[in-house]
Amino acid sequence: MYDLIILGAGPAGVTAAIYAVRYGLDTLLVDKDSMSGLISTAKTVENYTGFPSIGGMELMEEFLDHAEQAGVTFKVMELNSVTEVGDHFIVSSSEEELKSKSLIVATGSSPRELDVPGEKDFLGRGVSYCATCDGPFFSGKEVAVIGGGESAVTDAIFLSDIASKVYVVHRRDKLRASQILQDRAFDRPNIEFVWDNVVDAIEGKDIVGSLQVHNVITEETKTLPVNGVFIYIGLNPNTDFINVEKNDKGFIITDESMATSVRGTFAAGDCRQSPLYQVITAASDGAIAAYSAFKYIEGI
Amino acid sequence: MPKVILLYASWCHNCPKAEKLWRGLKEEHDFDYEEVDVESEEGQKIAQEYSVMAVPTTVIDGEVAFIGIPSKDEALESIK
Repeated sequence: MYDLIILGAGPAGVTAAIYAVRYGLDTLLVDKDSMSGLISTAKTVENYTGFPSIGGMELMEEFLDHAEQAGVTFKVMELNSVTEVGDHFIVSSSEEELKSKSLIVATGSSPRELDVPGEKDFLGRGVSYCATCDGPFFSGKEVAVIGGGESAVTDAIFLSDIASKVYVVHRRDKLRASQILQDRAFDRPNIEFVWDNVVDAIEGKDIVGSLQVHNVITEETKTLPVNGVFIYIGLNPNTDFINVEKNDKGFIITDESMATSVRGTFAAGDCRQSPLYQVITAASDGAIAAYSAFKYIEGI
Repeated sequence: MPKVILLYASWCHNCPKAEKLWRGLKEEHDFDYEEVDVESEEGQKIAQEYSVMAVPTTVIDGEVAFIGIPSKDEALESIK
């Protein structure tokens, strides 16, 4: 039986694993991918302390290298279920069952969908949740970015170097992104902001041909002639598999020690309720969760 | 025997994960497998035929089966 199994190898899980190993816990880090973390899809990260500018994937590689050097055991495993059995937990895949005295849930989140007509139909044919993944397909075309936060504005800037025009469709008249990003976006001549608008439908034939939006204040409707729609409207936590107390959006509720409502289960990173979802806060959560797991195992 | 084509691109940092998945399955199971660079002539032809604007995309027996990376279980199910 392990002392600790950590579910998810993004920044939170990897940091937790490094700390747990250093505390002397018999630890296993698991993930369905060999490289995880939403941050690995970011072209550039400029706000992780110590790295003025680094690629998202490069940053995750640094995390994983550190974990390897620290002696973390990492297993690529597709999680089927997690069950609490008396004083321990069973983590199951289709091939095996692993037992552990404690758990850290660090399964992160996935991009939230708009839930509008055409969104599912045109996935991969103009609808995308990752500009760095799919942006090059839109060279010289017009695209829309939906959202007003850090990811939306960062990727609008990225796309403005590829696409002929980028519409940023935001439901308010003010962006949530940091000022430095806003200033860069406002300086781009081919980025046009469509304020106070929400998406009604994504339309087209074989690929996306247009985006229907309407103004939430005036109710005026508009058709944007775009071939790409990049959606950045928030995150859904990957927490359906675990039975712990969550808020109404599915984010796990923890105390300041990262303890959940189930004894011996802790949560860290994007999957838990937090005032800020960043790599640096995920790493911090991971460290605290590992410390809490250590105290739990030691009975302190 | 199923024919699996994985469309990838040089800029696609997720594509190596998809390649690893399918290459691993190819070692254990019987199916035709080909990796095609979407920037090549053949890749552009396939992308146009299936209206592909995302990578990695997996085409199995003439139909787009996965956009993005499937889980190992999903991939296995698709080649049965």
